[in-house]
Amino acid sequence: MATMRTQSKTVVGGVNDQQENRSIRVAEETGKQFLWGHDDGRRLREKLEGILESLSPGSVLTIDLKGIEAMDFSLASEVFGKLYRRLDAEYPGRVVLLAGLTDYLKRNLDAALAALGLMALVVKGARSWDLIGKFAETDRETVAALHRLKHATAPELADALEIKLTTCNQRLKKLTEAGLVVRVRVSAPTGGEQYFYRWPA
Amino acid sequence: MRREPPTVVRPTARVLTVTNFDAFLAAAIPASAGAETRVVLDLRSLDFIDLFAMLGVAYLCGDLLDAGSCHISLELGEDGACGFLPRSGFFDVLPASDRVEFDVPATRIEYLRLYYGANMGLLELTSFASSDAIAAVLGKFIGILRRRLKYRKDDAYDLAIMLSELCHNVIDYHPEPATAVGVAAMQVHDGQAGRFVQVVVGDRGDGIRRTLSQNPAYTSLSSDVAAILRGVELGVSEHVEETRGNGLYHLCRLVARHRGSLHIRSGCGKVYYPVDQIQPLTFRVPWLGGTQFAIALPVNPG
Repeated sequence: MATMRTQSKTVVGGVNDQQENRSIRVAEETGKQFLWGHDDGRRLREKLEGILESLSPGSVLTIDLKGIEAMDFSLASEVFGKLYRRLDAEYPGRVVLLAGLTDYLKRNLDAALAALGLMALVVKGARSWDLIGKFAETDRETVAALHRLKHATAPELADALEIKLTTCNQRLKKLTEAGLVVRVRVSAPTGGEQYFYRWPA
Repeated sequence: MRREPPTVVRPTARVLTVTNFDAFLAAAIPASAGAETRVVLDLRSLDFIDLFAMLGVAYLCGDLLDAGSCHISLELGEDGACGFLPRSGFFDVLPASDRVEFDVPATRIEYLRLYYGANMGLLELTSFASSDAIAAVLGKFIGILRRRLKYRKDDAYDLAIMLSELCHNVIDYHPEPATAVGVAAMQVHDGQAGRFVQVVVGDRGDGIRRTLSQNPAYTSLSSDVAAILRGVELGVSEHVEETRGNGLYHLCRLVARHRGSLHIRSGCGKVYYPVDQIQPLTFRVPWLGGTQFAIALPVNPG
């Protein structure tokens, strides 16, 4: 089976947020080691978008590229360029992770995304991660802080990063819209609701 | 009616390659005007003809025949470089080959093709018309690089990506993709600076300038050279989608990273990106339909 589905229910402070995490193994899904051209790219992207459509906000789609030896830049742009570009507008609140990349594939995807002004989060196991594409050092710092804390509110992250809350909120907004971090609504201790941010892997 | 003597076109050197093909083309083009034109392309003196020039000769024949009024003879001889044409797939990609006369009988051509057999260091001129056909070409290409030329995996994949971008462009940017046909080829040569791989991709489509003009942003390109220079920029495409138009940009980047050179020829324009130089050289050249690429890369076995 090329896709896996896990369901988790997070209850924090009295507000239920149901996240569903999905993983797709591209090599198994396509039956290929090499991915070439727009047509292959369009078919794969449509498959991925179908999965994103079925996920609720706060859910994570992991695109596992283990077994993929190479892809050309036209396909990378068609799949990952369009996917990441459309995330915030068409699939708000969803997170996309990349996994199973060889160093070669990572280098090429980095070039493809950077050329498009986009960034992505690559994970390798529970501990190792990296940002690829076009990103600022502050993006990396913020992701690193969230990785250490695993879940935190914006004020907690601002403290950890030793930055102002408004600055932290701007950084988190950017990462959320880019589909890199999970944002969950919770009940605030003082009543009302607030957001907390969760490491997606 | 008095029959005009045929126009005989011969290369001025004993080699015909991407760097001097246009001089040969210039001599052949004026011959296409007028009724009852007969053109003899005499290649017998050649010691060597590279894949780009081979494809160029094939496409020249196609253009002359499309003009409607030309009778073409190809004089190949039986020795020298022209004995190489059969096993390079030249006759498989020659448009309307049944309308071209040869000085060598078809049986002799077939014999030469079989005599030399499959060359493991060569991807002969191979037509493709679909994504599946391109995938097959790329598979064979990677096999030659890895098994025959001992390329490291990553370097072989880089070259395959270059080839993929060019091949898919032939189909993606054709006005009717279902009818698009391209040609790809590769060979190893020994040059003055050492061994190098030549990768050639060509088509007889609309050319870069006409293709780009489908996008309202690029209707005012003043020449084929201007269109080529624009076409390798990031995000420049016939399509208006934001994620299109990156293939040639990344191609140039990879060629430079592998210390290669690149010729791009389209219509009346040719642009040459030499090794290690930032500024390309541009040329106005005689018209040849479609677009042709020639990449030269130092052989880089692992």
